[in-house]
Amino acid sequence: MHEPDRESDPLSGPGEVASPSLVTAADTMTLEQARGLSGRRGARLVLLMGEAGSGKTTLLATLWERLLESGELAGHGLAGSRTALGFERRAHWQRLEARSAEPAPPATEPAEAFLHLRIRRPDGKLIELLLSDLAGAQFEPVREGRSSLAGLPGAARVDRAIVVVDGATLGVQGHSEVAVTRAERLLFALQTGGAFRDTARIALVVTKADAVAEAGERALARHEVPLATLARQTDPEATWIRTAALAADGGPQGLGALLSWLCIDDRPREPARASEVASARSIASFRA
Amino acid sequence: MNGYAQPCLALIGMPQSGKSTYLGALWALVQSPIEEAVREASFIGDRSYIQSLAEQVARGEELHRTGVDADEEMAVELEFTGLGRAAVRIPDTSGESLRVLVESQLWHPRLRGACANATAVMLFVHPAHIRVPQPSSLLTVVEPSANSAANGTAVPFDVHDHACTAAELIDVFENVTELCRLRWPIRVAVIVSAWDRLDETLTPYEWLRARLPGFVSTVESGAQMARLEVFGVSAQGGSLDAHESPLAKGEICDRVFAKDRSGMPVSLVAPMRWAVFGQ
Repeated sequence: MHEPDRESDPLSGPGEVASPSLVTAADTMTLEQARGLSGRRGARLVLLMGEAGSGKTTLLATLWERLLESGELAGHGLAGSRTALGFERRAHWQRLEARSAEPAPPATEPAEAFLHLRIRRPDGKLIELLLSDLAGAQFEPVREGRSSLAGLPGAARVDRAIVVVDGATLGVQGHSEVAVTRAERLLFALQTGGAFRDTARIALVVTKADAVAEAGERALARHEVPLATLARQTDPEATWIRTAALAADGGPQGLGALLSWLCIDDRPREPARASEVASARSIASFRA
Repeated sequence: MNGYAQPCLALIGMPQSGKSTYLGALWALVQSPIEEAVREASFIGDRSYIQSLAEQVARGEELHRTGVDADEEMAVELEFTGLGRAAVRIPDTSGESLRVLVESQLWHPRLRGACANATAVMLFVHPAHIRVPQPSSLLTVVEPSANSAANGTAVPFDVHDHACTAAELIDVFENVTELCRLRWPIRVAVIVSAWDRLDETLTPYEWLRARLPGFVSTVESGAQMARLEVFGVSAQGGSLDAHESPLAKGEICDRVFAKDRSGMPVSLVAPMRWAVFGQ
């Protein structure tokens, strides 16, 4: 009988042989494990950026719940997960929160945690997604300019960046402006961090869209275009997506759009600018 | 058969999912002169364990749990009518070892050995032990109370108590298929046990699709990894707790039954035949 090829086990580090007792699927993946899967299967690294409590983890847990309970979402089928129990743990807290009038889900601890989803697109292609579940606090030094985005786990090679804007705060005087400014600064960090590949994509995701009151809509109307313009300096196809993961009436909203966006093809590589081509030519002729 | 001379079947499932009962009933059928689908082709080797399972099923007894360190293996040469002979190895892995895999994220050496060598997996699911997801958006808010179950702070996540069955099975599927990735695609036969207790209006496939859609989608999407087939089986022929004992229906070959994915009656041997031959 053939023995499995342990050396290429995605949960092993480079050159490291996995222990026979180690499993492939687990609660979450470390950056090293995510890199292994990314290298082997071309998995997409998705960076969810946003403030603590803005709904990043809820978004992930609800996406998982929807896929688990129906097998598909917006024509995209669940094709597996190496972190099924990590999703379940997050969904558990969310279920308790939904049941309790005194919600107390634990805040995400600062760590390098990735959740894995394998999705079958309507055209049959399988897409491997590695979704970062970083704590909101980890983005604070990045948006304040104290550290580079590339220093965050996985951010050095982002394929999809999601900047989360908390819809519930948009309607609150004083908080609205802060929320928008912080999103803006995260977009600047993406622009300048050197982490963003030229085929990657950006989405501005409004969470808790069902809680965006009239004042919130006014704030959105005012800031939607400037933020999108800023995002499109990095990704010309950057888009807004509104989600309401825990919407009481009609169930979660916007998750299908989010999943479709996560699974669409990368942007075509932009042709090199004339100045870059000229510079490359001069280097080539110098070497010759 | 994937280029392997000897098919090796891994029978896996959570505790009390019906693995040993199926194995016992199957062995009784193999020996029954009435069952025509399969017979034992070579009378060599120790049969004491599998024989004891068959006799317990024949007597309508509740089977003892397979111990986590049990080292029982059925290695037999069977002749399947119309398909030919196959030397089949079937390690009887305990449900507890699968629970250790899911809850502690550790391979028990015996389970790992069984899965690493498997050319096909027979995954047992008991309808009475399924936990379905409760979408957060549909849950009702309750007032805070002293009841710790209603208060998120007091109920830490425990896989055993809180994880949905579909999530557990996806975890198992990922681990098992990764372990035998040199033999992709492997056959995965999902055996829904105690089929006699279920609503007859659904076929086994429809039932599985309705109850564990995320898991079915996962297996069906991974066509390069696995091929899925679904069977409903009643390896006792009825509930041992029922008012009328299944023994009243007659011998094992008279009372046990199975249905294929479309709900057509098939022999109890059919799931194993599919696992061995793919038909």
